Amino acid sequence: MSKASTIEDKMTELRALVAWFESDEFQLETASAKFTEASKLAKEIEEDLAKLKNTVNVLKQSFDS
Amino acid sequence: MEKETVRLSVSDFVALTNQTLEYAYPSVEVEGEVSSFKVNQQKFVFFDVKDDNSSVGCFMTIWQLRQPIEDGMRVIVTATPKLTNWGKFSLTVRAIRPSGEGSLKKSFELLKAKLEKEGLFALERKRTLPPLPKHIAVVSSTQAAGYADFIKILDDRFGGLHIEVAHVQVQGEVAADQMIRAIKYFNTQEELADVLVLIRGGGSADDLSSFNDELLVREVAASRIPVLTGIGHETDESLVDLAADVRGATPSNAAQILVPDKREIVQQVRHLVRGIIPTVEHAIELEQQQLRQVLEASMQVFHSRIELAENERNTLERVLAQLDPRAVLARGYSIVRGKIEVGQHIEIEQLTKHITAEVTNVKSINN
Repeated sequence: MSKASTIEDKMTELRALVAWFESDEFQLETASAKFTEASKLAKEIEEDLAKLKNTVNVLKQSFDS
Repeated sequence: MEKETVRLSVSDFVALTNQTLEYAYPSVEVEGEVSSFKVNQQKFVFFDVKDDNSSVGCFMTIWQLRQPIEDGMRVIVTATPKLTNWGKFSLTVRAIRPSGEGSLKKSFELLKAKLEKEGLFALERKRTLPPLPKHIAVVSSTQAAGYADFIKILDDRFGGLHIEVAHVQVQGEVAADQMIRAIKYFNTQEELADVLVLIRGGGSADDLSSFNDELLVREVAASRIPVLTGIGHETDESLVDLAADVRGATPSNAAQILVPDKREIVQQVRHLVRGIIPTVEHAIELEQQQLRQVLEASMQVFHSRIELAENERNTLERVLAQLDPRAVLARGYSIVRGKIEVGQHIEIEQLTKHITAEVTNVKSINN
């Protein structure tokens, strides 16, 4: 489970993981674990997107005067 | 029975007339053409509204004048009829708005030029909207079709948004003031929304004229919260649109601008993860290639070592072969063993024969 709480944070985390594969820090030994992590994160983002609902609050006050 | 004639002082007559007028017409809208428009002391506005047969004087303060007016424009005034203490009848105007396409356009152009000169529509004032707003303030009429479209598209595209709605009138005399108060309300909250959206569906030029109100345009330009508009149809452009940070062509388009489509995000996420696979495959291939190169280099060293050893052995073999006495014998030479003195027996070894012979003569050879 990712530590990031919002979809935006999770997207940032996913982009960082993907960037690791293109960076000088890339190591074949740890690539499998990182790939699994990225796949899980992607799944979490998809699930979040599917279940999040909007809340609409119509203000009670009048703007007459 | 004859009705009693009422005798009044002039002041009482004026007061009674005004009372009667106020009772009969607490508020009246009069439509006509403006003439003799003038502003006195930068405070008081005087003009006449007229048609083919009649004309009536109007009075209002400059602060009530929300859109530019000039002679020849067709207008609708919202007013109260009044008889002044000097016996002059006039309309005390609360609001005035251009009427008819020509006048609306003229007023629009005049105000646009004025505000443009002040820099209210300058591109450098425009702020970008947050890519993924969480808290959205909406100023709209909740009964309007445009508002329903906006909310529906937001729901369809993205979730987890907190939408706060100020329900206001979006057309008519009070619309601009209500929208101004709503914008002020959102801008004075402790926790500001990420974006403020003004929404109104399509309508006639007159219906949308509230969005060309000078004070409303100034309020939009002064908003601390970035403003997005979705007003009318694609072809409708209001001054509020010009003052806003971002203009959506319609309420639906405003929703599309505001949040990304979750389906596109899912595609993007999948694309990101899929993009890793070729990178890993390439890295594995590179690693295999390097391994092959190392193995090939090792084999090459091994083979050259063997070749070297073989060459060395061949050389030794050749040397050994040359040193073999049998090779000399093969060329026809013989090995002689024994004392070389006359009468002595000697052993002569040839390649294929062993001979015993007696020495009969010894003669030295001087070379």
